[in-house]
Amino acid sequence: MPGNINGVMWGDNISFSLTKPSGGDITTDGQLIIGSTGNNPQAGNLTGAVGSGIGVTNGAGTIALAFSSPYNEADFTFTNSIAGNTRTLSVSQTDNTNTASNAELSLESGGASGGDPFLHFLVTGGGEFSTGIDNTDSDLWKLTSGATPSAGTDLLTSTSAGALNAPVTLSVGSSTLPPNTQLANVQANVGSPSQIEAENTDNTNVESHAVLATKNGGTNGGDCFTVYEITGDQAFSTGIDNSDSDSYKITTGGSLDLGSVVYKMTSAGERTLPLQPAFGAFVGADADVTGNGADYVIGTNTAMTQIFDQNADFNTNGTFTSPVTANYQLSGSGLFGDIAGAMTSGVLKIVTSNRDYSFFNNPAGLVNAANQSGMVVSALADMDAADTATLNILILSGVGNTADIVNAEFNGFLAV
Amino acid sequence: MKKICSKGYKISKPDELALERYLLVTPKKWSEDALTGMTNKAIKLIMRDWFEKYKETINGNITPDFSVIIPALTNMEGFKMNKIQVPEAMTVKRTEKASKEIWDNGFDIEDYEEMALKAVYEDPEGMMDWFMENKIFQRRKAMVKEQEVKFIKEKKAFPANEDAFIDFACNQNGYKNRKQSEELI
Repeated sequence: MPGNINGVMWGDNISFSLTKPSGGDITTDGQLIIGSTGNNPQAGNLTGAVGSGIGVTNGAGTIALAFSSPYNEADFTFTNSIAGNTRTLSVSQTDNTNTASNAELSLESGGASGGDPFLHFLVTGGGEFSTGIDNTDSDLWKLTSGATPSAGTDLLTSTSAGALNAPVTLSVGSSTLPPNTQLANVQANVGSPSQIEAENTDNTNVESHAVLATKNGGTNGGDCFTVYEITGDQAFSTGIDNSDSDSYKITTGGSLDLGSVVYKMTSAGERTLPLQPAFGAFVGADADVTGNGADYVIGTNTAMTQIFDQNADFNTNGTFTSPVTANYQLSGSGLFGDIAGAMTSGVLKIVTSNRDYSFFNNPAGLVNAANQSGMVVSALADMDAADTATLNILILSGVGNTADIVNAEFNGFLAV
Repeated sequence: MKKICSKGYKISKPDELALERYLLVTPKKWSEDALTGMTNKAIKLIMRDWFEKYKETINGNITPDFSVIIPALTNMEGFKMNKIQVPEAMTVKRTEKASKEIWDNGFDIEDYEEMALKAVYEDPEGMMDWFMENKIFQRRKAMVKEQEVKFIKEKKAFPANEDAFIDFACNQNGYKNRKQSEELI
């Protein structure tokens, strides 16, 4: 029959203990049953009044709350709806003298055929996360966006051997990843670098490499490359262009398809520098240019024909203008005609802003049957940015400037 | 016709001596040649990147006149060039103030040349300033390097200050700059 225990005042204790009336060992456990047993059992409640609460204290020993059939659907619940009030489940071991004095919250499922031990975090109508062991997925520890470790999206996983995986994205320092980025280290480190490193500390084995690798899916995939970027300013990319015979490239853009290619190496090792200053030009007949001391810049009267000019530094009037301070390999050659017998001094020279490079000869002494004489000149020239270089022919001692250019070539490139 | 670099450019006496050590032409002529090179490069780069697209819009003949072509190209929809930036400035170790004007009245260029320069260079006048300052920097450095080795070999003491060194080197017996050194065969 229902009944109440009344008249218990503050400071009174109600004690339930088993005492064997005849003394001796107690061989069965004692129980405090709240609820009803027998047919049509009803739920029982252990309720703390407002302002008080229910405290369960113990001396040495264990307080266990266990649910067995038919009560195996019961949950242990803390519920509060008082505004501004925090509900706390606390496990506290206050001893500070013994390293074994742990405070542990343990979640354990029955075994390999059981469920998952996990913690579930939920904002009603909002975000949801779970963290724990996924018993259906090789016992991976997981952080997911679902109600259990096997629901939602795997955000972070780890094997028991410590292989940590972020299947979607992983960011250090910032929760906002750059576009199309899955792994990022974004920091505002004033005066020190923001750095990603692969380090192998072994120094005993030549196979103990430290490697940073980029890899695509295969021949039908995209490129593998790294990007170097000054924000809002300049970018360079370097890597393998999967759409250009797997050549290794450096470009001036944020990918291998953007900007200009500044370096290209084929898989066979042939290297080109498509924007490196390099030019080649020639001129055909140009009559009466020198012979009596006229110092003639080849390309002046008859424009040179440009064969190539990779960096737009050559003018068909015969002038090369250096874009940067460097050393340039320059070469010139020419066949000069109508060489009179008196024309015994001649020089083919490369004239740069800083100095001349000359080939001297006696044209009249070295003519072919058509009274033509050839000359060649070459130089590795130091040039400052915006310096000029021209190919000049100067022949002396003739009666007049009647010597001709039959043909001439001028070419060069930035060497070092 | 347009004017560029009308604000001018000044050099010091040691600057001038270092330039004369190597140049056959005046600093102003060197600068004019530098500007010609810049203009040629600007026009060639615009033609390289945009002339084919321009040709697709033309029925009939194309006039071979840059004064027509360059404005047409730079006014095309979507026209854009990756502009050449002025590099980081270097510091010329001047003690004596730069006081001699070498670009008096600047340089005259065609309208289309100015258009091309502004399309290709972020700051054409800044670029000219940089070229000139770099030229002075490089020639002063080269002259010091060249002459220091000589004085050390001759066991001759020389000033540490760069301006004073250049003056000292030019006052040595037998010193000749390039123009003075060149002999006709």
